[in-house]
Amino acid sequence: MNGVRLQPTSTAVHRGWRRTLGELPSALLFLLPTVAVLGTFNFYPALYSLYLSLFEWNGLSPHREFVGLANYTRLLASGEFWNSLRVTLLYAGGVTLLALALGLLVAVLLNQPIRGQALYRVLYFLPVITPTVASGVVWKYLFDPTQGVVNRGLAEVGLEGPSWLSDPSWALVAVIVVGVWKRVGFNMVVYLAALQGIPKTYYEAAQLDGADSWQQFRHITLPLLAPTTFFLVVTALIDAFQVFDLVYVMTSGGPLGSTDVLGYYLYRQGFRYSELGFASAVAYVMFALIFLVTVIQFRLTRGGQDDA
Amino acid sequence: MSQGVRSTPRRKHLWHWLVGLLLLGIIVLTLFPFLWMVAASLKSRADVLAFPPVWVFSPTLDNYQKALSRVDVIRSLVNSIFIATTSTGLALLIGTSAAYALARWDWRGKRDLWFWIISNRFMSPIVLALPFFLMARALGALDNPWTLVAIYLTFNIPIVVWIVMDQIRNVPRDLDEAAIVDGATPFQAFFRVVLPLALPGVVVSAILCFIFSWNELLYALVLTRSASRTAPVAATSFMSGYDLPWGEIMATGTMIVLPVIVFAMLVSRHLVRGLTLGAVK
Repeated sequence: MNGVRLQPTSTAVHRGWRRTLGELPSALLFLLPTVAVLGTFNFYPALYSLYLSLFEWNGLSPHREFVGLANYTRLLASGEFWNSLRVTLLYAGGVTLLALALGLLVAVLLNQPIRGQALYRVLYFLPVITPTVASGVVWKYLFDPTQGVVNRGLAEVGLEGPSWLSDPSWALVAVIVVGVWKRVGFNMVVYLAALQGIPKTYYEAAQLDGADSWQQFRHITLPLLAPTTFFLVVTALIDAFQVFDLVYVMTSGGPLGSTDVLGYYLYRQGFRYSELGFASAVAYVMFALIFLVTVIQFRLTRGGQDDA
Repeated sequence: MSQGVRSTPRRKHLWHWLVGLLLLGIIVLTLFPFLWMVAASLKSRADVLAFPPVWVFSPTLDNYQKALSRVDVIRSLVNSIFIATTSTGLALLIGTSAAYALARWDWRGKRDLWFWIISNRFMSPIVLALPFFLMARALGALDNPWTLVAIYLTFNIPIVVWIVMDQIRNVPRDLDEAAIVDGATPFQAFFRVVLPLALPGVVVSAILCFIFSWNELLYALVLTRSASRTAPVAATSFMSGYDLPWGEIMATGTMIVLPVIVFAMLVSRHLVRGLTLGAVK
């Protein structure tokens, strides 16, 4: 890691470069399309959303009523919003922690000298890139109370499974299971790469000092993995905070709001009830939460910019 | 002492067995949903409903036939292919140029511009869904595949810039400099000399763009009706009512998953590197 590469250089080579390639105008031409697209499609909507959050509007009537911060105060007073926030935090916390632990476990196991390591890695990774819709429908099928494999399996060993997605106390658990299933592979790959970067000599030295496997793991591996762990926690939180697809496919936020994550709450307010101003306020609260986590991560890791 | 030395290899052996067994167990759990989906998609209706579940059955393509006979599904697959490839192609064209500028020129504020471009990747789709919907409606662009192409660009371009810029930095400057000395314009130098050498990064980012565009649900859901509906949206449209046609749903699911998995297997090593970029040094 070094930050030197990006700093403006003033070597002779560099000056020669500038002369031959031309000054900044060409660079601007290269950059223009990107800036134009991103500016139009992200900058403007983000501002438009902020503006809308100050109005009450059903999306159809020509009249929008300016209400100031009323949407935000209404939000903070809404029990549904706090329920959504609670569900989102439970989901995010559950998926993040479980997938972190499992990802580390698999990475440590895979880090042993094992035949077929590359194949294992790909197979574990498949859920990560599988379309969420497909994952959602398959798991919905697996969790089906009567036809699903999960409950049939439980019945085989004499247990009566809950009705999972239609049971308010189990629906979120089931959705978290799927979230974890989709996340473990990513964590595993990142952890594995980090593990392979730890010099073997550290462990050899520890062995000479008589440290057992657990002590080596506890006092060498874990501390050296700390930056990786931090990265994984932050990215998992950001992802989990925005969850929408899984909930849309598996539960539609139910039963009784037990899986009504913020993303789905926002979708309902905006696209089902046409409360555009209010939904925009929800969007901004979500945006603020995600932005906060993102900025912290970028500041602390310098945005991965130094990584090759 | 001598006993300890002798028992170590045996204990190591045992440990390896345990590790292998545990890994195999986790792999089975990981892959089971895929296997079950494909199995159910090939089962007859009777076999799907059979209790206890049948493991051995005579496969049938009935479910695929039925799923594909819904006009919706075929059209949605065509739409998905068009939208994903177009958005990927445009993102490459636009993003690699920006990556070149960022890799080769220096100016004050370059880092901020880079940060702004990359940060677009981390914009939350759900947060922007509403303004996008209103913009598209105002422009009469709802239910138009190009609308999705354009919106996916905002997520695809940052991926391309991020990965390709890295790759271009590894191409020696002497090469494009020589081309320019020989009379090429910067654009020619970029497209003919630098880009071919940065091909691995271009391929990785293309795959990531394709997978993102192919998988996306939210925007496809709110910005399309019927004409430009994508495959993921079509798959969710089966999911209403009581007696769900699981066989057909699993067939549609398999058709959505298959291209992604084939892609992933083909380029697994690059893919993993690309997806975890920024995390792995």
